[in-house]
Amino acid sequence: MREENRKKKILGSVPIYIILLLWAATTIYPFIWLILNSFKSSREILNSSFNLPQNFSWLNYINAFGKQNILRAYGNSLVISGSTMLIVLLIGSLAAFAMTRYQFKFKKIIYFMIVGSLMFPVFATIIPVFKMIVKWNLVNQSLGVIIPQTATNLAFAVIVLMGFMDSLPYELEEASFLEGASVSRIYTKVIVPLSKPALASVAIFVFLWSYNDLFTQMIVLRRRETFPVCALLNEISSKYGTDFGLMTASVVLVVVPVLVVYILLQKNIVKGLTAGAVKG
Amino acid sequence: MKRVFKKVSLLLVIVLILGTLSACSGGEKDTSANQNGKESKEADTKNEVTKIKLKTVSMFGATDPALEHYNQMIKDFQAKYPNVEVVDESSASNEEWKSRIKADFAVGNEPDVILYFTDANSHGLIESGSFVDLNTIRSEFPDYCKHIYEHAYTAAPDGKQYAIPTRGFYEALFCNKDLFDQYKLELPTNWDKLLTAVNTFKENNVVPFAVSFSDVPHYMIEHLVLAAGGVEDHRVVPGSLDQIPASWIKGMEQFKTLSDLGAFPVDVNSTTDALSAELFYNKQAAMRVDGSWFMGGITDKENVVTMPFPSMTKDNSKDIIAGFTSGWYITKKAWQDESKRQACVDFVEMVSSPEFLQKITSVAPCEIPAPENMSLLDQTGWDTFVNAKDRVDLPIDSRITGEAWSSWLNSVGNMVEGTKQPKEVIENAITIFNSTKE
Amino acid sequence: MATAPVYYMRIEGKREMIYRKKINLLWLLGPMVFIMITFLYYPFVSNIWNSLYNIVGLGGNRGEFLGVRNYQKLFEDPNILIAIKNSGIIMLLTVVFQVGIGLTLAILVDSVKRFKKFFQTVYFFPIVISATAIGLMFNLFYSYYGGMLNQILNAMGHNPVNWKSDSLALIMISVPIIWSYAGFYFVLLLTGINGISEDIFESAMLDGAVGFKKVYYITIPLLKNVIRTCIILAVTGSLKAFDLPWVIAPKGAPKGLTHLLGTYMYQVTFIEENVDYGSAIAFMIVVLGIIISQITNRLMKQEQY
Repeated sequence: MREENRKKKILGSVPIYIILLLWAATTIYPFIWLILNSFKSSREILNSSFNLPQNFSWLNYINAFGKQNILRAYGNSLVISGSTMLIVLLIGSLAAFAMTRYQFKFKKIIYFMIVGSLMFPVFATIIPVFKMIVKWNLVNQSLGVIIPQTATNLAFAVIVLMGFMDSLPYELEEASFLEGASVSRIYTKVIVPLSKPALASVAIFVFLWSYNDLFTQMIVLRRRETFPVCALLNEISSKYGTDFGLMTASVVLVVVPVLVVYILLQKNIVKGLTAGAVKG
Repeated sequence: MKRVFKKVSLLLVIVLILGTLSACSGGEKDTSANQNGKESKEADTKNEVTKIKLKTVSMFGATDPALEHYNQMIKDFQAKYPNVEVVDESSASNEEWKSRIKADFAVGNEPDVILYFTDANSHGLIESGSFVDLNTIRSEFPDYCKHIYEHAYTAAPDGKQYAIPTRGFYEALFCNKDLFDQYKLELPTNWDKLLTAVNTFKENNVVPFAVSFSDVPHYMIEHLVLAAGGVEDHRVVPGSLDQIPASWIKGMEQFKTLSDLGAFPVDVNSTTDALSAELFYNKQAAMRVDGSWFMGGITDKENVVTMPFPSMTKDNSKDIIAGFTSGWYITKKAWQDESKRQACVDFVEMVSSPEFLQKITSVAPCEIPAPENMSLLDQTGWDTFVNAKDRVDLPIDSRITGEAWSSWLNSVGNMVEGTKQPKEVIENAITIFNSTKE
Repeated sequence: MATAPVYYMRIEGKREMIYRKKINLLWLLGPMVFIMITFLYYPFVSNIWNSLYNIVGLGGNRGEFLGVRNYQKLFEDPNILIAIKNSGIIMLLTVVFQVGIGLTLAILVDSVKRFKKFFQTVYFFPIVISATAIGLMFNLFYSYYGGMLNQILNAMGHNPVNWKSDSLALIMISVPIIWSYAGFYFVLLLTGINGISEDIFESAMLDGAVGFKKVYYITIPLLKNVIRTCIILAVTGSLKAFDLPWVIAPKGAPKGLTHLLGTYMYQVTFIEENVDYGSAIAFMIVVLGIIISQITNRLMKQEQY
């Protein structure tokens, strides 16, 4: 009986695996395509993009590394996007906590304010913000990018965290409250640990968007020493029309660190944090 | 959990402190001061002499071969004028770069000397009085860049000249000569030969024109106007609907005529410019209208030629679209600082000198010697530009811009299919043009 | 089955008691409100003000006072109508398919024992690869001369197809949009599923809820908040969708038929340099976004806000 059930279960999951693998094939394919094409010349990409490279040429990578200090650019990216991510998480989680727990007069207005700013295009806000950045002497400074990026990513973080915090069970908060915990204690001891998976998901995307936000980076940073990776590689691949070979190699170089960050943060998106985590 | 949170907040505090510290250290007035700025500060105090700091911006990007020569020139400049320190911010001129420059001027963070566009891109900055005009400069420095051809300058909407042109371009018809030979065709030096070529190529499954109207229809518009009316009509800026030259409409009617003959790729209204260029490179297409920069991508330099686009009214037309759409400006901010004037002038003199231009371009605004050992392609290109002499005009979109030009560009697909009439398209564009200009 | 509603119920009284001191809002909400007002709303409102003047080029000076002329133009411009229609179609498709595929994948990945981390990692790939690269790949799929799809058709003995013709273009653009960001909703929804307490699933199992029943009666109701969040993100995201469609079909190719609000706003602002009109479009997008997300909240019975 048991044996049969087990077999049934395994057989039952076969179609699920097939579906999952099919989708995986569509998402892995472009990555392989990208890597293969990064060894081709621009012309070869346009003409035989879906074949193996005629010969694996490192030329694009050599050009991408060239005379530029790409390691420093990675460092700059990490400082800018890492700080943006942390600040957004802190401020966003405080706000989402308030929005899901408190009842107050202007709640509806603040909610509209958050949703509305999800759609602000950068061009519409950049000039006044840039004026402040210049006034505060933040041109060519990481902080000059971190501030506007924090602002643009905040709405997303709050919206997502609100969705998760709304679903958190109240019992634990009540228990803490009865033990005499203050609101700040409930936030640090109950809300933050329980929201860890959500915080990790938000962190991933905030990091990614800050990392890829060429527009703000290009406006605020002008010296090659201060360039993050995307800004540095954008410049070499966009001159003279587009060199698709340099572009694909650049994209590979840009993507790798994001994947590393994703895999690190992904560890937090796991089951079973709900109750056990808080007691410990 | 507690530990994680503490770690995170500790890190955050560190980052914030670092950020604030680095922000404060830049307390100098010059906002571009970072490591380099600090170094130069130290150097300054050692020398005891106040160096003039010249902030320059150019559009030489990282992979532009000219960048190396430009950087060398800056070194030479500093060696020649030891009291000047050049702080250069050069970058490829894409959309972000343009936005950045505009943002700089908007907040008063502009450079002293800048290589920038002279076409409509500059009009906003000129109107807001960001640059000094050449007359003002020459009233103090009478010989300022006197070696530049008079016809190479572009006048701003206020009639004044502001920039010293350096690197130019021309547009022409590129032909795969081997395909013309293969089908025993003559190069299209007049309209009949062009139509014959189109028909023959079409019959043999060669795409006559490699072009994308969804991406870059600009060249085709300009050259069809040129074909119908020559540079004289191309130069017209219609101030009202009745000033529109008849040749403009005649030229635009050719979109449908040529399309009906099968002159364009099947996906001409949806492909990208890069993909259409491949058709030409791969000899799947016979002709292409493009700018002089297109030469760089052609590997088969002995079988490709350039020539002026054929005229509908005469043989062997020499008329081409060419000119200088960028140049060196001195900003008003720099000019107002009298200690900087001389340095600005010296810098522009050096960057526009024939010796420097010869290294970075073959389309110069002054006399430079012809390069040696040119390929067939390079030779025909050089001839196309030199033979045109003053029968040149800048593209239409250096004058008719923004919304008006955009409405024209976006109607090309409809003109090709015959769903919009050329007359109506041009009139619409001119109406917008005259209603939006000041 | 009864577990879910009880778990979900909130005792308003106690909650009021814990979160009664409104003074705490100062440090909880203060930082966000301060940042948003300084760096988003102040600039944006001054931008709306800009839309009343004639401005050429980003950072250009305010010219002639136009009043509400730009807003009148919104109603007369045929491109706006096309863009609203197309954005509406894309919005519908993203909500149904992007969120739908994301949800399906999240539920399926949650249900399997092996390779979870593998799927979690590879589904993220298309999100990190830049729009320029993804767009290039799809353009090489669609290209009429020697594109991958036409090569396949050719091998099967069919005539080549113009994949970005007037009638097909919008669908062909929406495929990569949906596909590339399905992984985004997958990550958010999987996070949501992981947040559901194991106890609930266990007691549901005892009640006999397995397979589709479990999904329908337990998972989806408990994910309601997260799904609503995803829908709001999909709605606002499709209103400003720009980079991928711009690479695949620049300027609404062919013939401006595939313009979306995001791409049209970009064209007006950066190509035509008509910053004032671009600002008016931006304002319209924000208003539309707020209205539609409010409708979403109503439909999904979120009365709290």
